[in-house]
Amino acid sequence: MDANQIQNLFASNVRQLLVDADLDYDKLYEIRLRVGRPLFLTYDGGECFLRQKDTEPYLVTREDLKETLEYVSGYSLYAYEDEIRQGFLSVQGGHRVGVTGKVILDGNRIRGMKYISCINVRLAHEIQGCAQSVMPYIQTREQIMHTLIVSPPRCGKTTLLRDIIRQMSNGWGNISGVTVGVVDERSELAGCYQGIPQNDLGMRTDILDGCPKAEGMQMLIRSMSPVVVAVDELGKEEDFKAVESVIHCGCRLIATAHGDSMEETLAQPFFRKLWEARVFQRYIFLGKHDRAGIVEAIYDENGKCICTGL
Amino acid sequence: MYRIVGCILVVAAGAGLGVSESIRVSERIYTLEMLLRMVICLKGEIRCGNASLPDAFYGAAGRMNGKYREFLITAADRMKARKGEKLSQICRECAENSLKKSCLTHGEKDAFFSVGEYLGYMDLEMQIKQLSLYEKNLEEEISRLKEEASGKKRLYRSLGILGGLLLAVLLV
Repeated sequence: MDANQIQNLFASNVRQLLVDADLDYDKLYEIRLRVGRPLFLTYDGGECFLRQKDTEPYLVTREDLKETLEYVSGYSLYAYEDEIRQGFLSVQGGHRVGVTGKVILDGNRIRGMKYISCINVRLAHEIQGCAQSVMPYIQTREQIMHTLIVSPPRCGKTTLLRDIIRQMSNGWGNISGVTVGVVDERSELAGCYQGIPQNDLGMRTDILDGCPKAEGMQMLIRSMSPVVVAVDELGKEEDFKAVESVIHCGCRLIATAHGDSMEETLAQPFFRKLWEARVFQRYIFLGKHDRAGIVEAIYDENGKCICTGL
Repeated sequence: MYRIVGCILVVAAGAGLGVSESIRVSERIYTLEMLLRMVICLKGEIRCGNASLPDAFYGAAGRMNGKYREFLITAADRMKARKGEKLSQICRECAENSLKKSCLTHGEKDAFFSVGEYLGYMDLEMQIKQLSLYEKNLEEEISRLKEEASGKKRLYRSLGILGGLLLAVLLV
């Protein structure tokens, strides 16, 4: 990971602290700036804050946030209005910058955000090969399983899905690659920056960046004839309708969802419906461990556990 | 004999000065027209492509030549580098480096150098309006200069020759 690229996103005071801290950026997951609060890092499985010369924790100022936003947006916050409305923007390297502040409403519609008081930079960690152990359970020479990856936030769903896409696209072992269509609504999978993927999603992958999942899945099927469609974080009602259309047109689906356990996932009505229809043939559950991407269990379409602790 | 040659040289030098001043008027108009073209390109990049400032500068650089292209590329490179500089500082320094030897007046240079102070702030409409305001000022200045140009050029040339003649008479 390019440390300079990350440091240069921040205001000069914060940048200096990051330089002085001598961090291993492969272990750094988040950098949070909140006005008047310490500068928090999610680092090496824990949380820490940066100090000024071993004294008091550095308290982030409004100026730091303003300056950081200038650099993050390339002095052009106006060009990211749509992204800000969704609460985040993507930067070079595939990293995601989440923002919170005072939301400006236009009727019921979010028009923008002002008084931005918190910035959370989530660093993209592409771990090539992390899906190696799950691939035999979801793809054979004859078949690709409809798969749902489930975990609480920050357990590595997106990282695992990214590597599954890459391996399916490039081929793995003695299995040939297939065309994969990715709907990357929040630019997290490919981490596209100005249309160019920053993460490797494979050589047979077509990416619809920043497109709502439901529309994106339909668009891909109509235009790119993918063998596999991959989407991150199913959740809205229209996503589930699009899932049905993907499945009925013969494409295979790999998706992720938030959840803690099979019971909790199936408590959500839409997932319950998909479960009853036996849509997904594999459910991969990730757990909270020291490092992201630890597979706790894989279930088949009947809820039978076929593997644990990968 | 030497006196006659000297007189001719003095008159020729005066005429040359007049001609060079009249050429500067044309150059000034040309420079302002190029700045206008640059602003139009920037506006187009921002309005049509919702481009960020560095991308708009790169895009516009593709349509410009010489020092104008150099200004746009240098400024965009510095914006992309995110070295902790203010946008106004980047635009001013790059503009000064590229246009310090131009024949624009102090006021015209200052107006151009300070364009960056009003960009990057608020929404898309604000960027377009800021650039439109500068574009309007440039258009007015160009049109005023064009109206005055022929008279001014004639005046500079005549003054040059007359000045040379006067100096020659005084020296003789």
